[in-house]
Amino acid sequence: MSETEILRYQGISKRFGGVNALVDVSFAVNRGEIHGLVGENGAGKSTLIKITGGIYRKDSGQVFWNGTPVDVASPIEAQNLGISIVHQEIPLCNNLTIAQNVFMGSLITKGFTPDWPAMEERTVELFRQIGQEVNPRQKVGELSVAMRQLTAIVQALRSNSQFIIMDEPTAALTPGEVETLFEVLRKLKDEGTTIMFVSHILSEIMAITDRVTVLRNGRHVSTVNTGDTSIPEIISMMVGDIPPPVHKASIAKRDDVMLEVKNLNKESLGLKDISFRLYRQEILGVAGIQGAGRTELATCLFGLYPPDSGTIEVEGKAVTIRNPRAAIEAGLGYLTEDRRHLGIFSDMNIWQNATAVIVDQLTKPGGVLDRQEIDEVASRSVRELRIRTSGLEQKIRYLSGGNQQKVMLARWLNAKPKILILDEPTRGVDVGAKAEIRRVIQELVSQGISVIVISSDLEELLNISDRVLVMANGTIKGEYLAHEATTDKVMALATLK
Amino acid sequence: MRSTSGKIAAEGPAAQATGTIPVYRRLFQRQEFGVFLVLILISVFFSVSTTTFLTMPNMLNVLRQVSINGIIVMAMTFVIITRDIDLSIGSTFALVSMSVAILFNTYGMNIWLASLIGLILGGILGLINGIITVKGQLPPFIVTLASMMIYRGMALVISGGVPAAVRLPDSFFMLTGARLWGRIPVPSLWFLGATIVAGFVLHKTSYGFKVYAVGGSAEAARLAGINTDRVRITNFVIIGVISGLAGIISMSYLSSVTPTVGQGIETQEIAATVLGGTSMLGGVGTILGSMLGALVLGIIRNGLVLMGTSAYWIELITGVVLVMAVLVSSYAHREKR
Repeated sequence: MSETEILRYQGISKRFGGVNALVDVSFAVNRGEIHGLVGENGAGKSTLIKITGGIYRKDSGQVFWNGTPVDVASPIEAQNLGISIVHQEIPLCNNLTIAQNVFMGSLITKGFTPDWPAMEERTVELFRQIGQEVNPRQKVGELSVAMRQLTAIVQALRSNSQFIIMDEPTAALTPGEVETLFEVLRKLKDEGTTIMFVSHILSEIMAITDRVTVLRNGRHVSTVNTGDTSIPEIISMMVGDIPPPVHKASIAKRDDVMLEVKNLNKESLGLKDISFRLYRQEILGVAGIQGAGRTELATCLFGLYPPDSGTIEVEGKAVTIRNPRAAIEAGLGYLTEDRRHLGIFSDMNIWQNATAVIVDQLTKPGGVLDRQEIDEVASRSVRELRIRTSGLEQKIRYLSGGNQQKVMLARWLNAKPKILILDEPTRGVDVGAKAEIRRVIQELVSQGISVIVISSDLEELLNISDRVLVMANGTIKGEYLAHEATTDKVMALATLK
Repeated sequence: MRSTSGKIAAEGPAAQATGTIPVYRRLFQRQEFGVFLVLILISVFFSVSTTTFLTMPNMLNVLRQVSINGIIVMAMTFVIITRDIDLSIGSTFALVSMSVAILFNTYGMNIWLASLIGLILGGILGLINGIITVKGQLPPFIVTLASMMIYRGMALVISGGVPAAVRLPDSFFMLTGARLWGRIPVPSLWFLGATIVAGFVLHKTSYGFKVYAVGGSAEAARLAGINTDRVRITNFVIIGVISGLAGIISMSYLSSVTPTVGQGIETQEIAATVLGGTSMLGGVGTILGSMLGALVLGIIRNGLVLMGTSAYWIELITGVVLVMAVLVSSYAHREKR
């Protein structure tokens, strides 16, 4: 155990149901360094962060803090040790001032009343420590994302954190703000604070970190000095040595445009000037890192957040999509990435979930549900998609993630769309269900449907798609035919800031 | 998202096929079981502690007493399942019955026509609540709190604050307020009818399906192409019409109406609905549960009166029993998860 190590992970493993999130991860973080943590989505970064911060419990392995084994059972214990996480979504109270937020957990009191002047003064001092001037009485709700982040950092300093984990800190920052953040991080480092910097943007990893750890599929690949490596090397560590994907012959009809999107803009979602075509029977992949605007594009097309400007044509006819109902009528279907909140009706059963989009068509006069027809449709879905369930009356929340996803897929297949947008269709599902879902996608295109697949699993995306659009910063940066694309090429385009 | 799927997968074995489980187990698992248990317990308690509780006349009395609240509880179930609330029902109740009484007494209008207009008025009052809440994206609690005052004010204004006696034609009275064969109270038949219709609509039609979907997750429902605004507004119209109907039946039974009638019934309705297992978080609830909830509240009141409890104590005890009943009910419900 070296003196310089502040934190050591020894053989950390964590399973969620049938999924191995972390497998035997071991590495150490040195005192006073900025340590990068990278990996594709699903590589296990968040799980490791959450175990460190006491949000999840590890299944096996040991965490050493300053050389002593610790079992961090809750976020409060983590904080008492001196570990803080600055999350992507920063949990601050918008209705309170900066000083009130900074001292929320442990007010300075004078007698029985909070001593606000003292806390405000201390807040100003703490901000000066990281080179910032603030008005401690400003409401947090009025602050920019960057300032909120700094407030969270100051909160961590206030609680004497020695180890601060920054989870995707630059995702919502402008280039100027990123520079400010980096200055702050360097100052903290000079004062002896250790920082774990988690980011998708490899140029930032190169710019700010001393060492970098790469995770892949829940396993530790390598921890290297940043100075001794390069972006291409990190990318290849992230995606692994993948055999060149075997392409099934594309059956896309490239003279038959199914969907054409021209100059689509949606300011509130950060979508800028998006134009692309989708051909009949094509599988079009959309690649990009988190925050690139892929899901935003899908929800915009589907009318959940209608576009500010731009045109959408389906089979050569212009359509106006102001809400999901209109999108469905135009022939679109959208399988959400957020199955739990935007997909399933967790207290409803299989047949209800599988027929939700077409329930009005499965009625007898007077709006009475035609249970016979509904059962037929739902049973067919269960059979064709091989959904493992005890029966149509089973509540969907008792199904595994993969089977829930199949029910969601069934919901959209039953609506018989011309264009199906699948947003992270294989996220959080086991290997068997993954293969099943891919089989269904192949079958769909053979039936004449066009499919758009959004996935963070790049390897899989390249394998399944005929063509891939690469998005970054809310716009399309380029496209590749699948047979000419490689994960390296796509990642390089996707991580352009 | 991995954590989610993992958790759900882990719960999987807990819920196996409903088809292979013995009947008593299935009964246990139903969400109405908790309130059913409470109903049995208090009924046994009053049967033992009084000699008059478990008699046919008293049972019919209970049915009559719960029928007015019970009718409205059916509509309240729909409203609460979609995560809304309507506090203005008591005022709608008064405004509609007062309007019908005035149309009948002062303008000599045919009572059937007057009642029809009353129901339409109830629907409009609900529609106003619904449109302001849904289209204005305002909390229903605030909107219907305001309309509770406004509708009550209107009832007071049109009546001049004076109660009205109504001498209804026999044909109308027979079908709304009387006791059949001098025994069976007609309002309780309306309660039964409302239960059957509500149960059918909520559990057997595509509308009921959408109510659950909107309550379960409004965003998911919207993504599935359901017009969530329309469903919620329709619910407000339904509860408006039903409150009006209950007002008319009450007017018929009492042969009179006061502008202050129905004050505070919203708390009773909400209590009964929640007692019956409907979740204030939306998406969960059944008509059977709500019916049992209404019966439980009615029986507590009736039993305490029979025991000679003072009116002051009845209010207090009802509150205590309510909170205990909800605890029992939610405990029974939680076990199922």
